[in-house]
Amino acid sequence: MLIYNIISLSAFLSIMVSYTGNVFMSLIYAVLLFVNATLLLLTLGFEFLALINILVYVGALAVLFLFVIMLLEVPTAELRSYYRGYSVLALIGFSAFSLRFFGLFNKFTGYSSNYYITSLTHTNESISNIGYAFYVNYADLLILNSLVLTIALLGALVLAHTSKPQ
Amino acid sequence: MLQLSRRLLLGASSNIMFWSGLVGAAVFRRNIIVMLLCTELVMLACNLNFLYAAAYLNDMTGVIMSITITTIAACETAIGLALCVTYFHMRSSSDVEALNFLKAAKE
Repeated sequence: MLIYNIISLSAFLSIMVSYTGNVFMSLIYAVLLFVNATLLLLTLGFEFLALINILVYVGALAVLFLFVIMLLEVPTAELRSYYRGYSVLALIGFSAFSLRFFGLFNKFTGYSSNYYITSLTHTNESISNIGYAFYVNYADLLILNSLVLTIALLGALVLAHTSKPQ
Repeated sequence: MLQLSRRLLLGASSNIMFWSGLVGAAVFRRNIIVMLLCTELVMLACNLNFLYAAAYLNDMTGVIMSITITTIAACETAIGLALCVTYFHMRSSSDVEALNFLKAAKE
């Protein structure tokens, strides 16, 4: 049941990203979509990847988009929003969205020192498995990923340096 | 997740996300920022697809591919936004239709 809610919400949000006239609303819908993907991953049992998604997509990419939107002064329609009386609907929607987190931990059996934190949800992966795979089986992929990250960092630095008015 | 029906339903959801992002970036080119945002949507849909397959087949390869895709998407978005900043410092306009330097000049 929870899966159907999350999937329908993801379909609605992904359509609204390009349907909204405002750039900031597109960004907000994208952030909600990233959080939705995190919830989906939590229901699947990928807890490390869910946290990594939140960290990278929302924490780095969405903030980067926000800074660039503020820097470039992208022309937005309906930038000034006035109060339209949607507060009750917004409250209902916000509580419905945040209550999804409570359906994930159905195997909770009580506070006990014998249980580890991993017994709350079923796990399809863990950090130790990913670490083992990345360092032993896919070590070349790890080095390639770090090379790509380094090149992206240097590229961004070069672009920022050359765009400065001399 | 072990059921094929659940895996197909989730695959359909990532399909909707992929096509919304692709159509939003290629057809509804509102401005360059929304185009990059829709590209991020495409990457997220492919990411989730790999993870659904990894959950269905109980394989670690999908998880490794997902982390690689996340890395590549973040790098590409950073470079794309740096290019946007560089371009708009020179042009001082954010019209997407003006980005036609690769197009041949009309005779």
